[in-house]
Amino acid sequence: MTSPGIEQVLDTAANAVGATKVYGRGDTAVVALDDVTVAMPTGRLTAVMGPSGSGKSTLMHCMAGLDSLTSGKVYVGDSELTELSDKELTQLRRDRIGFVFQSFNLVPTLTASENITLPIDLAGKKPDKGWLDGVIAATGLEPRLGHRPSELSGGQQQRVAVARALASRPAIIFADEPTGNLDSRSGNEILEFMRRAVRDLQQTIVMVTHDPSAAGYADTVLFLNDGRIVDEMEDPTAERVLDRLKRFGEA
Amino acid sequence: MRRVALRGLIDHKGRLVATFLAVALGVAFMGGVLTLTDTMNRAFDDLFGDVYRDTDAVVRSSETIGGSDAFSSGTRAQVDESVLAEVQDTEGVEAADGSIQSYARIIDKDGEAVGDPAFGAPTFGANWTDVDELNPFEIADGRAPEAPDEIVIDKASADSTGYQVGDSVPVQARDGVDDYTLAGIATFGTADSPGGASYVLWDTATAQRLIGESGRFNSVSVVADDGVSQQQLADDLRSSVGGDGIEVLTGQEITEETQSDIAQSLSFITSFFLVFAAIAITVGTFVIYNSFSIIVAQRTREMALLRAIGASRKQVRRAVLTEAAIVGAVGSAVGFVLGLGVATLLGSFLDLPDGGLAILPTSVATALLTGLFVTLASAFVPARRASKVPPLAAMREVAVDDSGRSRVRLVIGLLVTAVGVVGVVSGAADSEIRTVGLGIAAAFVGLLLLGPALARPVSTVLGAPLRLLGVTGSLARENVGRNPKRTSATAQALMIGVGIVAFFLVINASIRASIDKALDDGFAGDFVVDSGTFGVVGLPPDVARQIAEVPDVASATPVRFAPAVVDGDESGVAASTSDVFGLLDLDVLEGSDALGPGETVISRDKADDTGLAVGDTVDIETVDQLSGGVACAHDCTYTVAGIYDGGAGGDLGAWLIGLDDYDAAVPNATDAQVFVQLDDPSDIDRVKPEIESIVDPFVTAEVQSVDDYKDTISSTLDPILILILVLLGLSIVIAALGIANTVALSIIERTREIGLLRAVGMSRRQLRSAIRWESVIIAVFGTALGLAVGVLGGWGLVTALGEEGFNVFQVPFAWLAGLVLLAVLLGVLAALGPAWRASRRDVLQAISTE
Repeated sequence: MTSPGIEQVLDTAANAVGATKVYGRGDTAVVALDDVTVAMPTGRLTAVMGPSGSGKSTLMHCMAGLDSLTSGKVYVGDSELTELSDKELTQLRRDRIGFVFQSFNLVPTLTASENITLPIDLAGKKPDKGWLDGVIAATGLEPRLGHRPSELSGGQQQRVAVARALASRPAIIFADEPTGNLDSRSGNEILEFMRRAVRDLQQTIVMVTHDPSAAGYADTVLFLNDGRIVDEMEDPTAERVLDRLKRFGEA
Repeated sequence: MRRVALRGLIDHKGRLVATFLAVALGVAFMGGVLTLTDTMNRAFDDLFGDVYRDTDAVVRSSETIGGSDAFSSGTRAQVDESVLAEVQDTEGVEAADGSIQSYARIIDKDGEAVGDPAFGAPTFGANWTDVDELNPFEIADGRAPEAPDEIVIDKASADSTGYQVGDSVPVQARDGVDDYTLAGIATFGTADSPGGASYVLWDTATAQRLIGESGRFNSVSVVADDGVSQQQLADDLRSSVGGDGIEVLTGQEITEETQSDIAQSLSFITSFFLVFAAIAITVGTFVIYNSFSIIVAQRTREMALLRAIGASRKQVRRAVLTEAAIVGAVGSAVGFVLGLGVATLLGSFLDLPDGGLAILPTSVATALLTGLFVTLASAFVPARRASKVPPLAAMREVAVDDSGRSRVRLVIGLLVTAVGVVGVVSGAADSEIRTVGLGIAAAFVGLLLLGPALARPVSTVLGAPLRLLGVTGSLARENVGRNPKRTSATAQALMIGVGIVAFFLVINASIRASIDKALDDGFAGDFVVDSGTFGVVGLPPDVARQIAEVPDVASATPVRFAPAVVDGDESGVAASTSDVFGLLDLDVLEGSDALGPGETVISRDKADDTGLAVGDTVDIETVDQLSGGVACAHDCTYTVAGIYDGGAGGDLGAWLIGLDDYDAAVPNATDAQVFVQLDDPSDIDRVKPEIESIVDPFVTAEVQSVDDYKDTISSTLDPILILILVLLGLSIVIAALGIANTVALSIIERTREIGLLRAVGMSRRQLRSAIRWESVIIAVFGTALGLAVGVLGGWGLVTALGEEGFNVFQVPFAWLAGLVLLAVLLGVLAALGPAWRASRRDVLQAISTE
């Protein structure tokens, strides 16, 4: 496959080269990622799909610098993650990467607006007021910004989480099952919000999901199985994704 | 269920480390004190059992002089030499000898007096008895004293001074210092000295002359003929010499009396240390309570699951209490072993006789049961709470800690605190120490109740400066306010120790300020010459006369004190000249201050108490130190010539008479103090050496200017204050452990949150900083509460005692600020471990933690 020395493609926000992740060792070793080379294009909403245990979460964690590879390389912008120290990784997460988790996204003691500016505050930077106002306006949560997470609905909490990810205008946002804990109406709100962020604010979002209708909002869908990328679909719809997924069962 | 408890214990043993340490440290302190006391008691019991082994009876006066208060047992009157002869003539007596014992002090090679009877073991002079059975001393080197210029001293003193047989040794006795030849060095039984006391031994006649009275003994000790029982001997002696102020004790009785006297004086030391052990254990209860509360809260789902699958409430409660019992038992056992180390350590400060520690079953049981009981009692409320977890909680996501928001508790807390403050204020106003004490206790309990309600607002205020640190600071502040009950219980553990420390610091500062003020306002003189022996060896009146003749000395005014019986009541009498009123700022309210023959000037308090007025007569009988009988001048009848009021420096007691009357009533009168006034106070430095040269032969006497005197007071108070602070240190350490524990356990609860923060870009350093500040806020919160109670209590006590000479209330701001800094430091230290561990956690794992 691709040689490890290759330079990253310039119009991608993040890419993995020969990414391999093995958990455990010897007889109990599990290969979660098997020599994956993939690029996440800038300005697009990419969905990563696959059955449980296909390695989609591992891929995301490794590309986001939350987990380390057994071998291979990961680039975010021009930074090669495996060469970074913990401190540099922290900085990278703070400045260049945004996160949205499935649940427990917000710090319960901080208000919604404090949560949104948290990464900027942690960096000790001044927020870009115009950008921030735009992000907040896009959430549609202005009246509730002074509230704590416990006073917001699940959907509202996730919108705050997406806004936080956007606030520092990162190179790429990773969302791990962002709608997993939501009812479908709230889920659709979040997906719409993310799509607006990509279209209107030129952001790059990578979303791991196993919900075909969520994947239907994406520009591109990557299908993973057994730690490998097995397929790719441009401009998906929920039906097409579902059809593709059914074929995993047959294969 | 027992298996659940054991598994819980094993799985969460890290969470119980603080509990274990709190129990262990408290028990160590307590066990150490008890063992130390047992050891000292045993050592002295052995010693005196040994000393009186061959003494079959003791004949002595039945009269004691003075000693009506709790701090002195009085002096026993002496017996006449003729008693010895009568004893020796009594049937069944194999041998008998008189004994003399009084104050005497060895002067070391540097000219300094050995020992310090004011704060340490006594310094004695005694006679060497030639009856071996009656002599507790055994010659270790040299021989017994045979000539008037020969002495034997105890081995401990010989070792510490380096004197050897044949050396010339200066010794201070009643009439001053003289040189003696060291004929021998003796051990006391098997010990180098009896309990650290120093001994100078003369032959009997010399001892009588120097420290006793010719022809008199303190007591007579007797050895029985073979076959004569102690009881038989005592009965015979009672019929031959008994009655008429003479009593006879068997050897066993005198041994037991001495042993119980020692035990009693040791019990004061024990009580003193036990109070601090109790404080440490009380602080420990907060830590234990908190640990179990947090553990139970964190295991809510586990408890609920147990309930859901059929465990009864009782079983759940018992599971928690079983854990507590195991930790309590193990902690107590380890603590007791540590306590043996504490005992050895304290023993080394107290100059303990050799022979290892005495480990008595009662002390072991007391310490272990206290540790176990305290652990169980502290865990009881958390255990009950665990048993109340409804089975449904198993399904819930996270247990919400809504404790600490009880309105009832808030109202009761406010009421009790208010009652406490009112108690302190009114007690202070009425000079009622008891009311002040109850007030402090109530304020303390009130603050315990108010703690949770205070936690959030106080942490917001204390954390306000942390805003400067940005989001890290505000996270720290918010986290402190998150579990108000937990925060307050943690802070309150520190409040106890800090409160007591603050209290003592305030008292100490106020005592000093009061003394300074008393000296500045109340002493018009320039020097005080103090005999330095608390009146045992006074200064001969000639000293004052010589000082008065020094050029530039305006006056030298002596003051003498003696026990007396006034109108039938035991009291004391002071004597001086009329100059003393001006010198000590004493205000003569009525009558004359001349202190003429047959006149007495009485204190206003006494006049108010007795209703005596100028012109009335009183009966003042001074006590003859020799016989315990009465001696007096003017047929003991004095006319009240004046009434005086104490100045800023206090007064000279109820009854003040002239020097001539005193000398007539008290043989060999000596001065306790001489007040010196100069013509020009600026000559102090020039005149001082001249006065010192006059006083020089009186080794223990000191010439002190007002400033010197202030320094002396400091050097007297400092060791006591330091000892108290050290003893309270353990309580503060336990409280700091509690803070570390709470922070560590709270972090476990917040694992996911910390993972999230790290994921969105919080650096390890920032995370550590947030945790550190959280810990610091808790520590400062506790310190602030402690300072409030401590300063309030100090103010109450100082104000209530205003009439007893506490006329200045002073807050030692620098010290209290030091306490706050210490709290910050403790907070930082307490957070070190938890912060480090939290910052090392794997981000991904943390996020996915359930």
